[in-house]
Amino acid sequence: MSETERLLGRVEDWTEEMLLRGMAQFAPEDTRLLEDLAAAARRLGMEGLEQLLSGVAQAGERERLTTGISETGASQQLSGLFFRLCAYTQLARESGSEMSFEEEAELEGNEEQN
Amino acid sequence: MGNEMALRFQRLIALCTEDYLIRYANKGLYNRALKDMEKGITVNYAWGRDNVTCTLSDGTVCTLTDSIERFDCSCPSDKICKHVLIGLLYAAHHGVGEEEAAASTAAVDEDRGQTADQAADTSEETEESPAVSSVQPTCAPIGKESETKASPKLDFSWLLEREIAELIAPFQAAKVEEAAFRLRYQEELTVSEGSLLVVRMNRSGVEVAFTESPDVSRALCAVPGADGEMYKLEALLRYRASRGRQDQDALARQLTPVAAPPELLQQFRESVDVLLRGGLARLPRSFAARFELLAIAARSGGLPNLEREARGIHGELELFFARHVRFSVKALLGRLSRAALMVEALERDIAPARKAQLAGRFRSRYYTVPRLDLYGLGAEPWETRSGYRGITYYFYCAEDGGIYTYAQARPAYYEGAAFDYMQHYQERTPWKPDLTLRTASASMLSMRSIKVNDEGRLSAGGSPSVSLLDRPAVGDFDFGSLRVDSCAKLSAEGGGIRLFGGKQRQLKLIRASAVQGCVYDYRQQALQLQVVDAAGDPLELLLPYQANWGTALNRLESGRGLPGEGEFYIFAAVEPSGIYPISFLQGTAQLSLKLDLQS
Repeated sequence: MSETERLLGRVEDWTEEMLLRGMAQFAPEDTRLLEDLAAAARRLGMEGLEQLLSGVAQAGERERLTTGISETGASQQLSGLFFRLCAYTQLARESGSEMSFEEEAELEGNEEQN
Repeated sequence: MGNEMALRFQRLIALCTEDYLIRYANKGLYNRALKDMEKGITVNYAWGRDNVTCTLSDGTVCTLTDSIERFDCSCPSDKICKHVLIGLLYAAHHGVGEEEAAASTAAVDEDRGQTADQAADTSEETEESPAVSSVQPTCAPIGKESETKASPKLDFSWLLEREIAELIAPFQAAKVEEAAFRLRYQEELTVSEGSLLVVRMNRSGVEVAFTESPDVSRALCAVPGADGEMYKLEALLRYRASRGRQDQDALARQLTPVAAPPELLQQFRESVDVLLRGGLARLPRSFAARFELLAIAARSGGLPNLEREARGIHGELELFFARHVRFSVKALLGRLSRAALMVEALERDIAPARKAQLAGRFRSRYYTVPRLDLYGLGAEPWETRSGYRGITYYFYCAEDGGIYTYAQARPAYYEGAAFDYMQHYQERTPWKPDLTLRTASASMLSMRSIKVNDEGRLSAGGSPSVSLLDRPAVGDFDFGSLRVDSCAKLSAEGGGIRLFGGKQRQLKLIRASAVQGCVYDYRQQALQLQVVDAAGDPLELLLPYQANWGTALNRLESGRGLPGEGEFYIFAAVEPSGIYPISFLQGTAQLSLKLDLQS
């Protein structure tokens, strides 16, 4: 199993666990884990994945610290980033190798090129 | 101002070639009009301001204008009648109104072959005129100048110069879509210009005649109803394409916009968010029903892809609550991600063509295609996690290099019994009662007026006609990019990965020269077939063990069904995890590995 596959596997495990636990349970340990994974992604040159992981970590932190009133804006952003991360790992798995530049761009929600 | 009317009338007369009149009326009426003129019918003309009253010697009175589309007649017919044709033809043959028109200070037609005799033939004559008995049976043929008058040089440039959006405006979006869809299939055009610009589409045998007025809806087509409207559009688009006009982008913008109901999208997003926040562990059982309702709403909102994901989510949640062994967190997460991102994209202002692709709009629409010649590639049985079974039949079309499929699908258990693969394999095709699907999947089919969708799925409906052609040997047929001649070429090609719209399977027709061995791999729980390509490089084919196909796999292992000496082809699904063969083709013969070896 390659390094990339191992990393993707760890990301998948985390996302599946979060679905079971619920994002409301996002804890500081999750932030740390995500930041570790982001660093691993950076080492492997997977910038897109790194950005997604840091993005989810930050959004998760923000969500956790916002008590009481559920800010739909923030939770929407977290949700959006989370699912992008899931989609990324799914595509990365299917392609069986490093994602191409185009595929990464598609997931980063770039504007549609007409 | 009789003079002006006469001039306008002259212009109409100049257009009235045989072709023109037949298209507006029909051959029968035209011939009857000529016969009446031969028999000596005469016409008196009285000029009005905007019309001319024609009194025929048989008592009929009709009123003509400067357009063949506007007329009136005392006879019971409300469509163009023989009397109108006589009114026009008689005027043409007798130079009616020429004198008055010449007198008009408006533009005078050049190249008038006006003779003194013709000028004398006024509309006041009541006795038989010698000209009548020697009436020419035909007017000028298409594109040729008439003997007595010069056909005005008509301007059809509007067909090419106007914006496509403007031209298709009078038509229903669905018809435009269908016409645009048909463009991917080849057609030969024969174009001729006369009073009308006639575009003949040779393969479908349909002609559309455009008039000088820049209005596609006024074009003439013998095919009635909605189909006729579609042909007018198709002829227009093909004509423009043949003259170098690129209309694809402009057309895409005109397509039926995906009107995703905003409340639906919002509810979807909210439901997904609630699920994600709270987590599966704490989800109330009733939550699953939400997604079933969302699926129904997506369906009526015209969003087939979203409907499919919603149903999938509903299904997975039901499995979860039932603590079913087939539940998969991974699968559920996949569906949720796709659904969430799809909803987000649909809420944004993305290009209409992309939106339609996302929503799955065109996948669910079936269009009639004039002709498809299909090379049978093989049949593959399958079973889904959600408990559906079926067989997909694969065909290749050389004309567009596309794979076409037909699928039978049923719940794994229905009507008290399990889905019987062999029974369905032997079933008759929906298109030809004496042809079984088994035979069809190994034949060469010629299908006319078959309905297909954007993804190449053949419909069981419509009324296509299907005939069997001689099947060329697999090595002689042009399979375009489907065919792979060696191992090396195989690994060089990347797969097409898509997030939305289902996994794209990489199907290939791989050329091989010999089978080297067949062994059952207990670790992988799969049958491994070792083959070599023409260059001698090895290739491994995998057939994972499935209880349903145990017999077939055993037979394959013992050597049955393997191709004979010489070159053969493997039709297979190429995935990152391996090459999964569906059928072997050699010469004109074909063997679908599971279905043909099981019994």
